[in-house]
Amino acid sequence: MKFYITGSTRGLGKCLARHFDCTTVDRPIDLNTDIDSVVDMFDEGDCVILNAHARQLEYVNRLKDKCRLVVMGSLAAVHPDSSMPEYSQDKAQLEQEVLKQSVHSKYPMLYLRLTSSSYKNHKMIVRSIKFWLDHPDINFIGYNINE
Amino acid sequence: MSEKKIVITGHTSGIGKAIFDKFTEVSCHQIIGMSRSNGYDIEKDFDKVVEEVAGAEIFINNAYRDQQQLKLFNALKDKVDSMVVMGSVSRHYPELIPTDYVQDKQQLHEACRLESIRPNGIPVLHLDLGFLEGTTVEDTDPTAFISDYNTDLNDIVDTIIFWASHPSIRQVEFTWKLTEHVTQEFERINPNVDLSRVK
Repeated sequence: MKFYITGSTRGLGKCLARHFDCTTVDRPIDLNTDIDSVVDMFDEGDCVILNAHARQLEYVNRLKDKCRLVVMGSLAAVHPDSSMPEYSQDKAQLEQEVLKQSVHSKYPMLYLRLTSSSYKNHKMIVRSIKFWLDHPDINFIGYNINE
Repeated sequence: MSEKKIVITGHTSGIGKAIFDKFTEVSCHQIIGMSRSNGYDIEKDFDKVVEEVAGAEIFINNAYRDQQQLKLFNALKDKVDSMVVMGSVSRHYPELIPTDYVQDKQQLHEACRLESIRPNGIPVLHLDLGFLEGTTVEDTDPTAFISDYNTDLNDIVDTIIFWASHPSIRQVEFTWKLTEHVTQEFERINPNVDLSRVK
């Protein structure tokens, strides 16, 4: 199985790319406009980590029956951030759709509801993804808010 | 996972038994099972259960009986180090399954969510299980799902063990399948059910 990741130039994405030896999908590829060519990059059964906040829902819909998906979500889906209403709305819609789609998708799908602290805990996210790879019936992992 | 005192309700059948048996195999853990069969009815013996669970490092709040699971959650959240709560994906479908069971599971999830934002709240792992083959709920709640699709019991046990080392995880949900049996269950509980939403 080959791993791909969107948004890998820094932070969590960079760490995941290194750990899972991912092929990275970053600029000059434009995730917002080059959707067809990005989708064509992946083969059946590959694992794609949708880390970049760029048309995530569209990629989920296009890839749900082609690839294993790890979707980086946010606590903002259930606790909207008033300073980023569009972002919160996007993440809320994404969470609902992934949970719905993952029930009947051909390949396993994992939605990670990240918080500001868990986002920085790269090791835990890596371990969560590895755990899911061994337990693909899991479709959602949410993290603590307080820490 | 280092040695811990673990207490579980409803340990004689289904998921509870699988978890109890697994932790019993791991000799370094002290696992205590509480069920009606050994004198711990979570309704009639509520106070005794609370008293004896208090001090546990992990309390697995598994047995379902109406509001008792939620009552145990509230009574014990300040008396144990951490808690695993057995929920259900059915909470996502209140309009499809308009039953007390689903409402109870929704309330339980909300209590877990609130605990996760409470200052100094304990680590709580809420598990949303797929529609399960029930053995214990049938005699207490005919509206609960008795389905042929199982969330793999080993997956649940593995998840608890994984969480014990990663207590920042607060919620894990499992997928499920709309099998013929699950469909029949939906229709048994709600004859007017419209399943288009989940197909």
